[in-house]
Amino acid sequence: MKKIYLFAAAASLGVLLFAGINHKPALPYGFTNGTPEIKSITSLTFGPTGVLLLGDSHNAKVFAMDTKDSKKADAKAYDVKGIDTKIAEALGTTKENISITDMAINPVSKKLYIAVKSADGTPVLLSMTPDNKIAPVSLKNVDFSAIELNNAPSAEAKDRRGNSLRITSISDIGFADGKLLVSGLCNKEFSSSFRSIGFPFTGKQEDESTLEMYHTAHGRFETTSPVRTFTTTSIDGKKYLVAAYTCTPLVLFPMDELKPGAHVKGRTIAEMGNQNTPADMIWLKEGGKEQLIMANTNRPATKVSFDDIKNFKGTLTQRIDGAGGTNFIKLPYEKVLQLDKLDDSRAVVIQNRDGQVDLWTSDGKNI
Amino acid sequence: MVRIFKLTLLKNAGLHLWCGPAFLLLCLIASCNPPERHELALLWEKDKAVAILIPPSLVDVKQASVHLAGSRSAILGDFIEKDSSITFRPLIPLSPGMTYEIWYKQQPIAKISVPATGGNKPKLLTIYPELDTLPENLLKFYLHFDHPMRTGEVLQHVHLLDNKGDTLQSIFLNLQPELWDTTGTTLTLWLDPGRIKRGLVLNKELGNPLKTAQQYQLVVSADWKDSRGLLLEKAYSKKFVAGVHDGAKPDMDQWKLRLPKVGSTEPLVMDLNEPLDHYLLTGVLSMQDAKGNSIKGTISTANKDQQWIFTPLKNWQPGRYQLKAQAKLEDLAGNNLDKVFDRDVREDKQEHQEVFVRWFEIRNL
Repeated sequence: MKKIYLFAAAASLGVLLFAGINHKPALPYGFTNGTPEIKSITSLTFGPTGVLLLGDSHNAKVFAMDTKDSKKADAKAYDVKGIDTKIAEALGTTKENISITDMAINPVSKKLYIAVKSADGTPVLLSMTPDNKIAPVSLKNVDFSAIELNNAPSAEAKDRRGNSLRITSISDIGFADGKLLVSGLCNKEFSSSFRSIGFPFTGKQEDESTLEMYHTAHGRFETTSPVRTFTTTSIDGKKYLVAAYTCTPLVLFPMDELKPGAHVKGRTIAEMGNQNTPADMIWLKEGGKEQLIMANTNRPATKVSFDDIKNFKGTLTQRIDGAGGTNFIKLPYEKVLQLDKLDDSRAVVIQNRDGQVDLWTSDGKNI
Repeated sequence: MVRIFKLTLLKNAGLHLWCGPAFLLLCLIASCNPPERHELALLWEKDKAVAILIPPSLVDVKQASVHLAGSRSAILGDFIEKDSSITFRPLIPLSPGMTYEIWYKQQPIAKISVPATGGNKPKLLTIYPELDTLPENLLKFYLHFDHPMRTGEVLQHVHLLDNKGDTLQSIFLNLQPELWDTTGTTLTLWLDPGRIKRGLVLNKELGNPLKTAQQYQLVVSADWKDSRGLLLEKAYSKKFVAGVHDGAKPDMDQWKLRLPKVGSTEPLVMDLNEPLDHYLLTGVLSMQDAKGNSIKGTISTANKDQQWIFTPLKNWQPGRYQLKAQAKLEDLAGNNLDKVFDRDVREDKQEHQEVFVRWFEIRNL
C-alpha cells in the first residue's frame, strides 16, 4: 500500500516537474527571436516561403528573417510616379536625403519590399502593397539568423583602432536550390569573391570560390573582376549560375562545381558592350519562352532568349570590341535602377526617368 | 538630451465659456496639479534628433500623426506612451533644418523645427598614396575622413583633372555599394582596372587613365556632406605627376633592414624601396621568432609608406627572426608579392605562394 502512495507521490512530482517546462516549438531554419544588428541593407532576395535574405555590406553579413508574410496572393501591378519622393515623405525628409538600395518581390504574397538608406546611413526596410501603401517592416523582435562573410579576421588584420581592414562588399545575393549565393568584392586587394552557402545557416565559415572567366572586353582570362549581378538557370537538366560582370560579359558557371574553395571555370557566352554596369537580372516568359532581362546603369536594359543561351555551345575566347556572342535585344528603357520579377511574364521596375524615379510594372509585352 | 523649443499653437483649444462656474471650478482643480509641460521637444541621441516629445495634453495618439511641414503624408514611426509622456520616434532621424507638424484629428495643431546641424565640419585628413609621383598604372586611392561621409555619391564629388583642369571621364570604377571601412571614414576608390590593363579595349579606346610625366589633380568637392548633413570644411585636392609604369612585383628580399640593438626596444626599420599600399602594409606583415612564436609590438609606416617600422613590446633577444608577409601585400599598381596585376591567369604558369618570409638575425655586438 505504501508503495502505491510512493508511486503516486513520484508521479505527481513528475507531472509538476515536467509541467514547468515550456514546450515552445523550436523556430524553423534555426532562427532565434531577437533584434538583428543590421547596419546596412544593400541587397534583398527571398528564400524559402516568407524568408527574406538581407545583404548587409557594412557588416559583411547576410541576415535571414522570417517576414511572416506567407499568404498567397495574386500579382497586381505597382505604379508610383516619383517613388523616391513618396518614400522620402513617408520617412519625414526629402528625396535628396534617401537612396533606394534594393527591392524584392515576395514570390508568394507578391508584396514589394524596398530597402532604403537615409543620409545618415540608417537602413530602413519598407513594404508596399499594390494599392501603393507604404508600411515599415520592423526589424525588432523578429525570427532571424545570420552568416558572416569575412573570414575570421586575425589579430594582425585590424588597424590600430581595432577595426577590421578587410571589407567584403556584397554586390548581389540570390537563393537557389536551398542555397544562399553571394557575390562580392574586397576593398583592399582587388579580388572578386563568390560564395554558395547552405541554408539554414550552420554558422560555419565557408571559403570563397574563385571564378575564372574570359573577359571579352578585357581580352583575357581573369579571376578578379567583380560579378555585379547574377541569376540561375537550367540547361539540359544541368544547373548554371549566370553571372554578369562590369562591362559586360555574361558567363555561365556550373552550379555543382561551386563548392567552398573551388576554382571554377566559366563559359563566356555574350559580351553586352563595355563601359557599362549591369544592375539586376531576372527571367521572364514571353510567348511561353524564357527571356533573360538585364537592367543596366549606362545602357538600355537588354533581353536575351534562353534558347540562344542554350544553343550557344561555345565560349568566347577572343577579345571583342563592342558586343558579341549570344544575340540580345536592346529594350527602350535606360537607367533601370532596380528590377524584380512580379510573376512569370511581368517585371517591377524602378527607373530614373529624367531625374524622376518611377516605379512601374511591365505588361507582359513591353519587356 | 532634451532641448526645448517654442510651441506654436495653430488652433484654438476649443474652450467654450458657456458654463462659467464649472470652468472656474475646473481651473481651480487644475491649478492644484503640478504644472504640465506644454512644449514640443526633440529627443537627441549622438547629435541626431531621433524623436519628438509631445505633451500628453495636446493629442490622443489614436488620432495623432506627424508630418513634414506642408505634407499631407503621415511620417512612418511609433508613438510611445510612457509615464504620462508621448514620444514619436520616426524610422530615421529627423532631418536638420526641417520643420515637422503634429496633426490631431486630421489638422495641424503644433510644429517644431530641427535646428541645422552644429558641430565641426568634416575634414579630409589624408589622401593615400601620399607621394607626389605615382605610377601611371596606379590602381587606387584611399580617402580618410575624420567623420563618416554620406555614401553612394562618391563619384559626384571626387574627380580627376588633367593639367588643363579638364575632368577626366570614366576614370573610377563605379561600385554600389561603395567600399567604405566599418567606421564609414575610409573610402577605397579604384581607378577602373579595365583602363589600366595594357592592350585592353578600354585602355585602347580611352587610353590609360594616367600618362607618364603628365600632371594631375585629384579633387574632392566641398559640397559633399557628412552623415550629419554638414558640408566638408573645404574643397581638397592632391596634385601629382604620373611616373613610369610599374610592372614588377615588390621583392621582399631587396628590402633594406636597419637592425635594432639586442636588449633594446629599438624599432626595426625596413626600407621598402618603393611605396606600398598603406592599409595592407599595416595589416599583412607580422614578426615571429625562429620557432614561429609571434613577437608582439606595434607596426607603423613612415616616409609616405616607403618604410615599415616594427617596435617590440619587449627587448630584442639575440637570435634569428622571421618577418612574414601575406602574398596580398601590394604596391601602388596592384602588383602583389606573388603576382603582377596585369596578367592572364591562363598564361600564368608560376608556382603561387600564400606567405613570404624574410629571415634576419640580431646579434650581440
